[in-house]
Parts: sequence; C-alpha cells; structure tokens
Amino acid sequence: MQRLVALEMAGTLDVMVLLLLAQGFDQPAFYDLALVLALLSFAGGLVFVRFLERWV
Amino acid sequence: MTIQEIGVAALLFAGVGIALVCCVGIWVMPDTYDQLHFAGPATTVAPVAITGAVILEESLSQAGVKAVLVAVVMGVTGPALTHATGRAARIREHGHFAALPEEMPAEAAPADPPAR
Repeated sequence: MQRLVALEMAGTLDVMVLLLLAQGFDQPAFYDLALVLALLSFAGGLVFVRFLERWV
Repeated sequence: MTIQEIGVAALLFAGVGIALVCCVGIWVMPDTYDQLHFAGPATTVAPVAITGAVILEESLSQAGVKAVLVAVVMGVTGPALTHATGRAARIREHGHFAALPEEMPAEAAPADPPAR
C-alpha cells in the first residue's frame, strides 16, 4: 500500500509540474494535459485500490 | 518588483514548499496511514496555491480558467482517493472495514451479561 501512496503522490506532483510547465512555456493548450492527467490518475488510483483491496 | 510579482512568488513558493514537505513526510513516515496524512494536503492545498499564482499572473484568461478547473478536479478527487486508499489498506490488514471491538468506545461496548 505504501507504493500505491507513492504512486498517487507522483501523479499529483506530475499534474502540478504540468501546470507550471504550461505557464512557464506560455502554452495554454498544455493545461489540458494537466487536466487529463488529474482525471486519469484518479481513475487509475481507484482501479489499483480495488485490485489491492480484493485480490492481491 | 511589483505587488503582483511578490504575490506570485509567495504563492509559488508556498505551493512548491507544501508539495516538498508532503513528499518528505511520505518518505519519512513508516506507516501507510501516516503517509496518507501527508498525501492529503499535496492534492488540495498545493494545487490551490499554484493555481492562485497562475491567476495572479494571467487573471481569468483561458489559462487561468483551466488552472482553476485542474485545482477543482484535484480538490474533489484527491480526498476521495486518499480515503479509498486508507479503506483498502485497512481491509487488507483486518479483512474488513468495520471497527474492531477494542476500537469501540467504552460506553458503546455491549455490557457484560449478569453473573448467575
């Protein structure tokens, strides 16, 4: 479970890094990447949680 | 250096600092539940600070609105994922999510049957 916590933290940090990169390079379209990553990391985290809760 | 730049720098340092403290906390804490206490602020407080910095810089342009959207999504999904992770950790540890008898408060525990 500690590895799952680290994975979730890495996803959160990636979203914030993408936010800052989009602002730093002045590319508003890159904000969509951060938004998509935030949604997908949440969905992926829930799937991992369900797997670890039941089967592994 | 204008007031706006000072505000942007302060919010940026706050957001990155909170994320750094949360990373160190997850690294140092030995238990999954203790680590989850540090995963919470990283998904709620740090994105709000960084989004505030972006809004101060860009005002509510397209970039600012998208940054607000990202912060809202993270603020909603982060605590839910943290709770789900804690629940899964407890189910893996005890086999169920319900409270153990020794975790119940004293007044809620069933009284001992009277001795005959």
